[in-house]
Amino acid sequence: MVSLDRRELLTLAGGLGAAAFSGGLLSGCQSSGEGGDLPSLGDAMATRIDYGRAKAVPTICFGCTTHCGVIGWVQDGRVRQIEGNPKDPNTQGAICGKAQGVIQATYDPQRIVYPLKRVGKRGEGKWRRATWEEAMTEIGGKLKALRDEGRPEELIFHYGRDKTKGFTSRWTDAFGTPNRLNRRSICSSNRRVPLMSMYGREFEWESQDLERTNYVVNFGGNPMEAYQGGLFMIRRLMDARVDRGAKLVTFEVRPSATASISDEFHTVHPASDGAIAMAMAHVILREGLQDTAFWNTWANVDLDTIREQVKDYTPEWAEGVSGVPADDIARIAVEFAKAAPACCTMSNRGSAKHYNGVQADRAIRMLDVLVGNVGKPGGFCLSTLRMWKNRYGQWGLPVIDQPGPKPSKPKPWRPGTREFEILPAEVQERVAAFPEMWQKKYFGELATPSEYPLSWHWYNMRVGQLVYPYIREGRQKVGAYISYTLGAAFGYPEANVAREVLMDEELVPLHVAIDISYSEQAALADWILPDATALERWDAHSTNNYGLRPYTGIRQPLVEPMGEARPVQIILRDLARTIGGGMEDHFDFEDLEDYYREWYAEVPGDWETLKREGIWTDPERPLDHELYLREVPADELVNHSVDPETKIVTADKGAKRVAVGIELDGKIVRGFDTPTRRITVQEPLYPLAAAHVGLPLDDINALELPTWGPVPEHVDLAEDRFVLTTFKWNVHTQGRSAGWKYSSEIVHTNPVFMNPKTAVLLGLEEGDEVTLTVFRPAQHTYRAGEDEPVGTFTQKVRLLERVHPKVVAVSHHMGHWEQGNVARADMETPSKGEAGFGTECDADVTDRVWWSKKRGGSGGGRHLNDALPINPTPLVGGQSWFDNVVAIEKV
Amino acid sequence: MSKMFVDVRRCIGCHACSVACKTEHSVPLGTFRTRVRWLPEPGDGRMTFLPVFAETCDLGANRAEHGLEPACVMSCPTKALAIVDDAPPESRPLERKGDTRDGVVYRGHARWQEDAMNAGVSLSPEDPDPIYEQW
Repeated sequence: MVSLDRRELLTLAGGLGAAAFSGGLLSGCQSSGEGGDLPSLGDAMATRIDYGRAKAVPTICFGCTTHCGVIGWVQDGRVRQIEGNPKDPNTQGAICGKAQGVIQATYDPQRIVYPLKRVGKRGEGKWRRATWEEAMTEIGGKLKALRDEGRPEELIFHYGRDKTKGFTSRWTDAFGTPNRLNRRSICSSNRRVPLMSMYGREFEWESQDLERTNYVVNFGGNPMEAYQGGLFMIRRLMDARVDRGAKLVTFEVRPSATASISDEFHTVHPASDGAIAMAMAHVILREGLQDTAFWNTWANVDLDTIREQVKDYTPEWAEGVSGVPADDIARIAVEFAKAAPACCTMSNRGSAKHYNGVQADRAIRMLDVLVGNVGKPGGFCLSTLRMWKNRYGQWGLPVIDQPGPKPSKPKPWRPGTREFEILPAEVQERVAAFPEMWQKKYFGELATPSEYPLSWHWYNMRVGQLVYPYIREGRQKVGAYISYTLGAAFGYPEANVAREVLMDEELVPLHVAIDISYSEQAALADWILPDATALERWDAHSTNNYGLRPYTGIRQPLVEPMGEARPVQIILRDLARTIGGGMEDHFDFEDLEDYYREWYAEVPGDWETLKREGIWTDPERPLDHELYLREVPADELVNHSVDPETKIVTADKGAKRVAVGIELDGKIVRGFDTPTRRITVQEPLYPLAAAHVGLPLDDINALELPTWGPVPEHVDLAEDRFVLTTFKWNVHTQGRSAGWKYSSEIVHTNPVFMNPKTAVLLGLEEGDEVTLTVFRPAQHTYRAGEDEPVGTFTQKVRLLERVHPKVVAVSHHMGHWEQGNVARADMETPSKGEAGFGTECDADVTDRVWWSKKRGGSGGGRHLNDALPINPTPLVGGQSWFDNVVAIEKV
Repeated sequence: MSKMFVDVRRCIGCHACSVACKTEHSVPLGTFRTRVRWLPEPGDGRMTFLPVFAETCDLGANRAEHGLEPACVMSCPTKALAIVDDAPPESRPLERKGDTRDGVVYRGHARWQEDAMNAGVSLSPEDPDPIYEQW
């Protein structure tokens, strides 16, 4: 292997350009073999894309969780370029840099493309290539035994990134386990719960009408870099600002890209977003700027109660909490209200991932109800989330659902069932005292943790970060564990706990990882089964549309999977067939295209058109404004009656009696899909849940009305204590993108960002190395109140104005020790899992990772998440990522 | 003659252009043909973004042959980049341009950003963005 030092390499590259690398000067594959038809991605001129013969095929991106309609250019059987699909009404044809990452992942020479079986000890990194037949026989045999022995719930299927839209739950249902686990609590449950509580199950994500808005108040959201659905917002926000003069106000703890492009950016103390929102509500009511008619019609609580509730939350008070001048808060509140209804709030993890984050989002969301912008043009809109089945708001649309026969769901674990009787005594006691609405949804401590009933009241969001502690505590016995596209061993808080549990063969007798590449999670598996990338597979797609019109898209394979990689649907089908016992009846298909054609049978137009366009929508359909005012169609009003008090309209639906709408001005309209058909501003579920799990009823999370209260461990924060916040970079997607060479070339390490004032206080200078010691949360969560720190993190300091002086900020993507050369920034230490590599060659990966430490670069950053505490928010379970109290010491 | 027009007010620093260009031309690690620079505003600290183009950039000649926009323009989610025949009003080239190519006009950029380019901010990955630390 030719080796150049970093400076030589850069000089060569800069001076001669790409041509210097042609002709195999620096070529070198880790595996021998034919090398593919693209000799080296550096060999630019010889392999330029010929758009005269390349074929453009639409599909859906999977570079992150936003899922944009894209078009791939395929030449000589390879995807060479990705563009936006102009037919996608959600993206309006836009893409971002992460779309290119899917190409890099597909052709990564260190991608796993053959099944691997562990040959050394678990975690030792020794593997041999296996056949699919061997994998299916051995894994299927062990899973069959679990099922035959009548303990199917001991199969845990835990995913990090599953967008099969019901396919994997079909498989776990057919197997008979409720333990299909996810990472919702890691991501977004704290922001989904306020929305579902207020607006109903269907609206767990909002779709602000940014094409028509004039004023946006953003509480810690960062759509320009991260944010599920961010790309749907970027173009609309920038068009609104630049072309129409709309104003974007952002409250943030650090200068994110979104904060930086905002018309107003206020640096705030962490977890003070709710305080600002409460003060804005105070001002709006004080100035009489609320929409009283809207409130009186739609809120489930009277305005005087809210007046009383916000009475003490003055802007002056909020200034003390947040650091934002009182005059600015008051002015922003007035500007916001005067822009109504073409104004909206926006928020995401910045406001929600705190101990007080659920309440913060409730307070923020209340502002939209106060000014009456809900559902209005330019306002806080709620677009039909997806087109599957009959859901609220989607009447008159084709039903898109997977083909039958679908398996039945597992039965709840009620007192008396075998599963219930083996639960720990205290859990049994708690669950037995639950109201019926929860008992009928209880499926054990992993799927429905009894201490967090609001994590599964609406649907099973689960509390992923507690899965490993719970397994260790014996709350759920594990017979087999399937990690699907999961990076818990790297990316979960206290990731070391995940690794310890996965290493323990008593606790986890069989661990199968299904993923695209080798990872910290796969490293602890007994089997690695190679999945297809987004460019090689089928998936159904639909999500809420910021263009406010329901749509669907199809992910389709542009190329065959590399090596012997297989789409997860085929892997699960074949496992089902091996397991047998009737399970295979639900996977009776040979060809995935046939399966998805049937799935989309009701979509107007023919299948070939859908494949060619990539997207279906009905451009004639009215926009999703004011869905709550739509009249309920007559066929839903079977034997209907109107409650004289509440005006709620109920009707027969099959054998059931269900609420279908609300009577308003003599008409029966849809209303909201909540128990009152109104907007739940006052939510009795919070104190109810608190009472059942022993959370004090005066805790902020237990209160019925939106409120602000401090994060307990932030109260009287000592002068030498700070709050550690984590964040995402625009070119990365959690821990999954570190192997994308072009993304990691741009961002590959993770300094400690700090305000220069803080550095002066601590006697630090730019580039000094510091150790952050992270402490546990104060109360009512996992291991709260323990004195022993969770862990430490050592990295260099980078000074940045506009980081809040009490905050240090570190990105969490970096510091991989498994995966390939690019993710590890190390070309000298061989990548593990080599037996699973294919025949791809890429000299970038083998010779040009110039930031490698051994080549004089900075290296690939350091791993942070072992030092971050497992910290679920009470009742809901969302990880409070941004509450971490730290001490800072110069190394 | 065609020019690259950069509307700096619209750029969000997302690097879609930096990366799409690398995909398009199989640009090896260690060099960029186009790259967005993140530059903290002096005295304020908020980030500003300036896409810059290397001498090697040919404004997407292989795509233009087929009536397609350059990969950077195609990939820009905020329409900050465009190929134009005439420089739009209020646009001008960078007066001090560091190592960047001619034939690019900018609108909405600040003098201090040009100063930064002249002070050595370049396209080279060896020259890190202040925010993307690369020691």
